[in-house]
Amino acid sequence: MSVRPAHTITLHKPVLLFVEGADDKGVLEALTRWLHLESRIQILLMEGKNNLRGRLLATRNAEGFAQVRALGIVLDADEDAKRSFQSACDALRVVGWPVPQAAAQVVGQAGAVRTGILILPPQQVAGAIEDVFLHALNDSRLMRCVEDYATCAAQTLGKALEKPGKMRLQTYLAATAVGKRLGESAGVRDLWDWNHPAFAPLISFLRELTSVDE
Amino acid sequence: MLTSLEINNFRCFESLKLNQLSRINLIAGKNNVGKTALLEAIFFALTAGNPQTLMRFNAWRGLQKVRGEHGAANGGEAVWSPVFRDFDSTRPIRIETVTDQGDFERFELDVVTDPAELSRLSKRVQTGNPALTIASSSDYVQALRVQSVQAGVARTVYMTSSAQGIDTGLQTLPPFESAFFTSQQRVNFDEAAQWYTQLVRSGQEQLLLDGLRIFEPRLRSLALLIYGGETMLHGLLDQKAYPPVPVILMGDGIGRVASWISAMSLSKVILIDEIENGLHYSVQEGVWRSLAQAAREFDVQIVATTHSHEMIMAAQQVFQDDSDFQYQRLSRSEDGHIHSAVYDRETLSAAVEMNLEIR
Repeated sequence: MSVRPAHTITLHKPVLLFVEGADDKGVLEALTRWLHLESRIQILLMEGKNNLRGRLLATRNAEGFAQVRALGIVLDADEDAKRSFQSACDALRVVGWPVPQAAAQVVGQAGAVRTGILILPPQQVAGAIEDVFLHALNDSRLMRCVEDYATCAAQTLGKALEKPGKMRLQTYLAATAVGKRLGESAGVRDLWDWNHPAFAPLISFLRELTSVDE
Repeated sequence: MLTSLEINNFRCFESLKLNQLSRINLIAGKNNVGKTALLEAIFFALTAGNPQTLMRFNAWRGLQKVRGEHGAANGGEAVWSPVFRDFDSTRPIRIETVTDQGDFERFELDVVTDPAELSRLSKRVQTGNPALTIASSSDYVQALRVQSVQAGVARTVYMTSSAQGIDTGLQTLPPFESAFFTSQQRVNFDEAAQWYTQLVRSGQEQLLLDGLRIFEPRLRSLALLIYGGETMLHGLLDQKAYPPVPVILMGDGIGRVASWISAMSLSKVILIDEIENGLHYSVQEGVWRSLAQAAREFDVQIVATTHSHEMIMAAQQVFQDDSDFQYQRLSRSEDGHIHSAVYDRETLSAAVEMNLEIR
């Protein structure tokens, strides 16, 4: 197989944020824009938790890393929040960067790279980024319709729904942002209320990461 | 095979250490971070610290007309000045190598400033050419001292520059052979013929034929034939209607690859500057495979530099499961210090997947 030329990425912002997939990237890009932090945070994909270690190593060697002051990792809790947190800690340890004691904590000394890990949804033993958004929709009238649909679907199928959180959010998006995935919907004006308490841990984490280069 | 290299005060390097050198090494980095200088340092060590090598460096870099100036009165710009960091010859150059056999070699270069030693060297210059009469003042001779330790044996060689010219001191033979291919160097017919002859003697000419078929699938065989009075490597095509064609006329890329593979028959280390020159991206993976196969057959080490993203990607594709490959990137920090970052297979693979800039 021949390799074709490709556009390459250089590191050019003081804070790097590793996220798992395209939806997470879209959400974090929208949120950093809303916070006016887009000039300070560069978002990179890890495309799976297992790739984090190699990607951190590659990032450390990359052009522009000398100007990086902080590095954040945002992961889904999936089935086990502790295990997700530990896998990120292990990757940081291999690269030789500071390892936080707890999620959402940003550690490290000034002048060196500071690090932090945020597990989504915060303070939960399991789940994913979709649960953060479902939390933000608790008061939505439309969600009652979505719940009715989910209940009806489960009864009709005669079994519990797989990934019910993701299904509920996609149903909500089908009604409010036709054809858009979560990451794309995050950029739709006024669709999401970023002031909702559900997003507060994310916002706090981003502010903490960027505070180190001020 | 070299496994590590340490360079101090040579060219742009204040201090650089390369560990984990492998059989096939690819070095990248921006302009003026010392990629060519790194190859020169290795070549200097591989020629046993022969001062003559320094003159070749000047020629390769287009400084062949620089003859130096003699005497302290005019500032003492010597032919060897460019190899010292910041042209400052008060800081000695040191180059150290370690091989996979545990052999350690060290070369130290400094400029002689002791008047008594300069006087002695000045007399040597006069004795060497009695037809010329110069004053005994040490101003008339400048001297570079090369002290080496190889296989536990210490030796000192002087290179002098005076009104009579350059004397490169003792001409030493290298402990093992190496070949340096600069980025713009043309193939030397005689040398290429010698390499191919050795390739045939060792029964490995098929390696070269296979390597060149990446460029020209119609190639049937190779032969040393005379063209215009010069013995040159020719390619014979499948179709008998075509006359034999000098390989050098088949394009720069094919000529360069022919030289590299042929040179392995008489070398232990091959140094290639800007390996991508003349190579279309579609042949680059094939070239890496051929070089790797030949390097293993002849037990040769390759150190190559590149600016090419495609060449790096091709190497990553070919060597992703091969421990014989190492990628290193030179970069300059804000304080001007040059350092090397080693990419193991996992790191290089991740960098490629992320599409990170790694040239």
